[in-house]
Amino acid sequence: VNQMRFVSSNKIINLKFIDRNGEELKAKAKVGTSLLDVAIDNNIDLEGFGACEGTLSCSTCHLILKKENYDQLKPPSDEENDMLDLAYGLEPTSRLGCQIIVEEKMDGWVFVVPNEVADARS
Amino acid sequence: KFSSRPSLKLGYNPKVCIVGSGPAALYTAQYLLKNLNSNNLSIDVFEKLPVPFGLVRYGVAPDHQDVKNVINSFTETLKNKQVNFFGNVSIGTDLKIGELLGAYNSVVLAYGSMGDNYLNIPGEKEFSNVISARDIVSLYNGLPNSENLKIDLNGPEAVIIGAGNVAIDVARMLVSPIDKLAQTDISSFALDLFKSQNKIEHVSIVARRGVLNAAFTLKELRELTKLDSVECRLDAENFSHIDLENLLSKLARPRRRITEFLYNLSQQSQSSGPKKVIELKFLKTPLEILGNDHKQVSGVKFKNNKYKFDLNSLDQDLDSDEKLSSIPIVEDSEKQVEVMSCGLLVKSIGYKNVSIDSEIPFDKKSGVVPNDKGKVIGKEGLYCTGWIKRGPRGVIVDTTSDAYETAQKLYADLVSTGVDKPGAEKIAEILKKRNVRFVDKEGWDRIDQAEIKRGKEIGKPREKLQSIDEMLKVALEK
Ligand SMILES: Cc1cc2nc3c(=O)[nH]c(=O)nc-3n(C[C@H](O)[C@H](O)[C@H](O)COP(=O)(O)OP(=O)(O)OC[C@H]3O[C@@H](n4cnc5c(N)ncnc54)[C@H](O)[C@@H]3O)c2cc1C
Ligand code: FES
Repeated sequence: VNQMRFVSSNKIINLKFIDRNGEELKAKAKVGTSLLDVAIDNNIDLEGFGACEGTLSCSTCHLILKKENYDQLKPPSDEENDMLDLAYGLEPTSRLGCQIIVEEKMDGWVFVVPNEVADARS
Repeated sequence: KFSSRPSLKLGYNPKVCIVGSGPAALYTAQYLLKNLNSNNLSIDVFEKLPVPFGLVRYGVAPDHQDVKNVINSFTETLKNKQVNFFGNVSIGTDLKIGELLGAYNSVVLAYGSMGDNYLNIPGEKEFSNVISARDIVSLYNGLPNSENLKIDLNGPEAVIIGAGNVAIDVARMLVSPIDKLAQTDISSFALDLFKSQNKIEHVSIVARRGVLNAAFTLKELRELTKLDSVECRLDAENFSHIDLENLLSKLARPRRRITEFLYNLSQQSQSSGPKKVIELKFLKTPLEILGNDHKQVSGVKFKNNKYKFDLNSLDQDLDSDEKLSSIPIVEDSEKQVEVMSCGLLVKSIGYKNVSIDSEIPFDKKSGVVPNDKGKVIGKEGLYCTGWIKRGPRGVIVDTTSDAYETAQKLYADLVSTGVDKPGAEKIAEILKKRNVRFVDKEGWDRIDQAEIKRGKEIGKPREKLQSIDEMLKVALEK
């Protein structure tokens, strides 16, 4: 099993994030890592993102998925839902990025960072 | 290159200072650094204590090290070469707001909530072992001088008045196994105290309003119910007159989930095993604190309340906590006044904002600095963020978006106009004249290293320096 994981985690797919300003950011994602890892590995500057470093204690890694993508994932755990309850701009398809593990089928998926504060410059 | 927003180049070198170094302060700094990075922006952070991070260090419970991970990103921010740290400098005392406004283009108030609320009932000041949650929190987190707290943990019963996350933190800390706490960064003083005299077996958390108004979050409550050595109880009567299905359908998601969880908890049968007990009690208002011959607290007298409306007949959606808290509560005259006995009473009824300088506009009634999206009303150049802006409520993630709102306002003002100001140079001069010894970020780094090293020796993530003298010694001796 370990070997399987090792093999699959070398696989790279392409994802997109839409940041708070609505800008599209491309990211290369290693299968088997979390979306929080992806954001960090790609130097994606998502302010405040990942404050608790993936330990399910902050909800700053909140992302909104497309419905058809959301439905393909295992539903969130109680603990993830508890943290989502505290997230801003909660949507029915909200998830915490640190809890989503990249799979091959996610190639081309888009993850939206909720924009809870109006940008003074736009 | 992923961040596509070009940083604006300004015609001057903006200088910003921030009062306080908790989450609100550091998220504000992060935002400004990111958006003005091509300028000679400098940010000076003033902190009353020799060490940074506010309630993340001295509020968040030691057994929540995960939450404290945010310190890593804050440390990175402090290490940015455009940021200066002035620890051990109390604004309002060592430096006046007017002096800061003269030296900087903008001054951001992020000094949190330093005051306490009172019950204002008989016995509150008369008996010993009536303690504010802040004092216990400070004790187990090793805040300087907290070791002077007089507290008796012989129990066996403790009552906590107030039912927010802080109440749950305190309850959990009081009943957690000592070997679990020993692996956290709990202060040695508190650890010794808990080891030698903690005999508390039963903690009641008592709220004035009902199950629909519980102020704690589900995350904290779920954690309580999962502790091995502790049984969490809620009387089934709390839901006896409620049509649950109907009610749940009217609630917004977070409130619906916590109400469902509370309902399930209330349906669990009580075990009579050797476990410690934490009991949640709703709809009780404290009337009087009682004491024994030794002038120590012995109990609290409560009256019982009820929701004034039949919750089942409310036809509108109860989709916000504001709506839920507007449901009136009245005394339930069919029930008698009751006395809960206890050897320790903890008041967890909230932190309070205070003014640190008479020059800061401060609205005593609402308890916040009046502001428009973070820009202080009535004082040019002054901004506010975090608990001093919103009131002492909410978790760190609330501080994130709140700090960005303030930072955006400030950014817009810096961009629209500005002249060069003297900044740190001028301030360092004043501090020197006043003999104020401040800890810079290298000094903080020395404290940080010393604490981590001391912690390592005894299996803790960190062993905090307890006194300000000790901190200054480590920070300032080269
Ligand atoms: C007991 C407790 C436990 C908590 N646990 C959690 C948790 O587990 N998870 C979570 O997400 N949130 C938690 N919170 C909430 C979180 O701590 C707050 O939301 C957050 O710290 C507020 O940030 P702030 O920057 O406004 O204030 P603070 O963190 O209070 O920072 C204010 C800073 O200003 C400094 N200061 C004060 N006066 C002066 C002065 N005159 N001059 C200079 N500096 C000054 C203070 O020393 C302090 O460092 C907890 C809060 C409390 C009270
Ligand atoms: S990083 Fe904190 S919950 Fe995901």
